[in-house]
Amino acid sequence: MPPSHLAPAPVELKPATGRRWPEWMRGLLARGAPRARVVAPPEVRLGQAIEIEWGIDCPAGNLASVSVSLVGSEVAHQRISARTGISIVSHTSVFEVRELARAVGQVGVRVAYGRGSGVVPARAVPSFVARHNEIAWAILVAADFRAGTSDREVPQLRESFPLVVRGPA
Amino acid sequence: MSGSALKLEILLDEGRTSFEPGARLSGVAAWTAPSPPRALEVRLTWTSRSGAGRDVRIEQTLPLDAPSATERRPFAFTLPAEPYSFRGQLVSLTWSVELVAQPGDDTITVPIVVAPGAAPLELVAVR
Repeated sequence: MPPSHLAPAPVELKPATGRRWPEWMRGLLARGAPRARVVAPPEVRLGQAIEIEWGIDCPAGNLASVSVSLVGSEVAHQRISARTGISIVSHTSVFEVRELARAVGQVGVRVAYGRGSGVVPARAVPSFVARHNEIAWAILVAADFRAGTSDREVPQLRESFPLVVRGPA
Repeated sequence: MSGSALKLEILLDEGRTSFEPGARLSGVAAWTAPSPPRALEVRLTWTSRSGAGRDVRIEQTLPLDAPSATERRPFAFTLPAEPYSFRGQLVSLTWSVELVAQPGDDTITVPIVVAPGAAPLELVAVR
């Protein structure tokens, strides 16, 4: 068993499921839709160094730029009752953004990848989840793409990969 | 037993109400009632609040066995490492120590702070 001050071994993080599933499926199945991947420790501690690997599958080869950040957010999940059932609207306020990596894409390159690192802020709030309220931490991959010659909308990618932040060891 | 006849009190040692995570919190639970309460317990709780709703969690409970009608009973908790007390733009989280008597759920609550530096963190929106 590793010492408690070491982060767990890096794994490929799962993207957040905040999107509605039809939208998620369309994104997954769309031809040429870019997709992001992040490999990072699933759990880190305040004040601890974090190292990540990121990748973007970009079949169109038109990646312009990408930034990868550690983001901390307050989230309030509001339950709204209606005759058709209960829907949940989540309100978010971001309190921490730490850039871990930034890169510029090369034309024609279909798979971009890289590494990044940083330090989890020492004075911040660890993750917690309750029914209505939450402190959520995630690795956010934000990418822009070059416009093509067609009239198709130029996509932007903002994919969030949740991880857990604990208090210091 | 009527609620008005029951008097509950929590006295934290040295009057401290702010603590580091993992610290020891100790004090005295005191009560006066016309007859012995059926049950009494000290609870360590936290509450998160936002416009979306309130979440309450009882982290630890100390039953005070066989209470007399009037008594002072020492208690102690080891505070957990998390969550921290904080005030954000949407969500806040506060801790408290409660003395709860049965029947009737008569309660006295003492708010406390559990956070590094013994002060609630202030979360500021960055975008």
